[in-house]
Amino acid sequence: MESEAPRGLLIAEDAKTVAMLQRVASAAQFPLRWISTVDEIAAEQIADYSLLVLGESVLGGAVGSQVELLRRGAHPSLRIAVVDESQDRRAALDRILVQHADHLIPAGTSEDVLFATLRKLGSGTFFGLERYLLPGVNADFWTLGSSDEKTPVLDQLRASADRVNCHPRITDLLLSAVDEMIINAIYRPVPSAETTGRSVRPVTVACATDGRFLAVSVRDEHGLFRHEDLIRAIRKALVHEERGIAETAVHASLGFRLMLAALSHLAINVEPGRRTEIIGLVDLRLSLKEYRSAVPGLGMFT
Amino acid sequence: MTLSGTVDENSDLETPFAKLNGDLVINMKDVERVNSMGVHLWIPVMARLSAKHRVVVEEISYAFVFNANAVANLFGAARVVSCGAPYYCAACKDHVMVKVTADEVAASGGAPPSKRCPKCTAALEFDELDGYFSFFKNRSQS
Repeated sequence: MESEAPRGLLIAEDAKTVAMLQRVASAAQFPLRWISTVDEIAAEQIADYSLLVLGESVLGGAVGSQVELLRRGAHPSLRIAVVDESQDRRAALDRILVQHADHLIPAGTSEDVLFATLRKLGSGTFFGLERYLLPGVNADFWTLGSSDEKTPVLDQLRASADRVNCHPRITDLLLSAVDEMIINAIYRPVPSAETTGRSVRPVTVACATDGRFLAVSVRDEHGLFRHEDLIRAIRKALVHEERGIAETAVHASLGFRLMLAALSHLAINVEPGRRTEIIGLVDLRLSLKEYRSAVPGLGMFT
Repeated sequence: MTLSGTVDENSDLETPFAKLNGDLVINMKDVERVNSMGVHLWIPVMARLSAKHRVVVEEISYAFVFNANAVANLFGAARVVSCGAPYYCAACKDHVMVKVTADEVAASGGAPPSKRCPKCTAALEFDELDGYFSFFKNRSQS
């Protein structure tokens, strides 16, 4: 039986959001229907769609209530994408939590990343950092068996970033994020690794650049990461920002918050029971100030 | 005491502080990287230390500022007096890290203080978000 091509439903009012999504969806050959009014939403059959894209400005008022009704009739595999229109980092994280979003699309996002996201969703093929890069790039790979092997890899990543003139502080942020990705890959799937420091299955780090982006991925061979883990981690991290971390806490639960704060885009690919790949992207075209003020993009593919 | 290198899951934070008996000044200029497992190890050590002794922390590095703005109790009851901050010299076309004190930030109303290039003395441009120094203010309020 031939599976149906994925389709998206865009509910948005903001003209810029609509124009960007329609333009990029068309280029990515991802069918995307746009509606904006309460009547149109009420008439929709959400079961026909695999992706619901919500403009931030429609999440309140009568339209928001109607969107909630529409979502209640959705099948569990419906993916939610929220377009952040306020360009406020904290508000964007709150939106991820409230909407249980799989994808966060910043309004000021690089359309290249949105294009790659829609192509991934359209094809159902998620793994590989090259999906975010121009064709023809070559990646470097490293395999790690334990966390004390990570420093030489991080040193080589710094050298790669220096070669493409990445701002030194952005490089610091990238390395912090990759450090988090590595410990997540080593320790999260097998908690006993916290006492041995060793991963029972190898962790693979890859790095490539096309001049626009510097991309780093870390892959484990467990595939145990879940969307709920991400939501829980972000929720805890926002509490830590205000109240701190209890001295008796079992985990700092900061990793994903730090990754999101340190990267232009964070993508998590999961093949349940087999592998998890976390990809971090740095937009090399931005100044440090632009980089730090930009809302990070997020994509959870499973 | 000067700390350098990385604060992570492989760091032994207990031993260096175990025999301390008295006031302490910690310089953190050369701490290049800290991760969430390092933060998890760091918080109880710093909480215990700063509860018993007068602890002053100076020149916290970019990596630690990043975490200080993400975790409210990163330094326990210690007094953080300065940090490294990224500035840009348009004349030299160079990115420089400059020491900025809590007093300078307070005097400028929380805004980035004016700084001059250590090489050419031209005025530097602050190269981060205005909220970079928030942890100074948040700590003084807590």
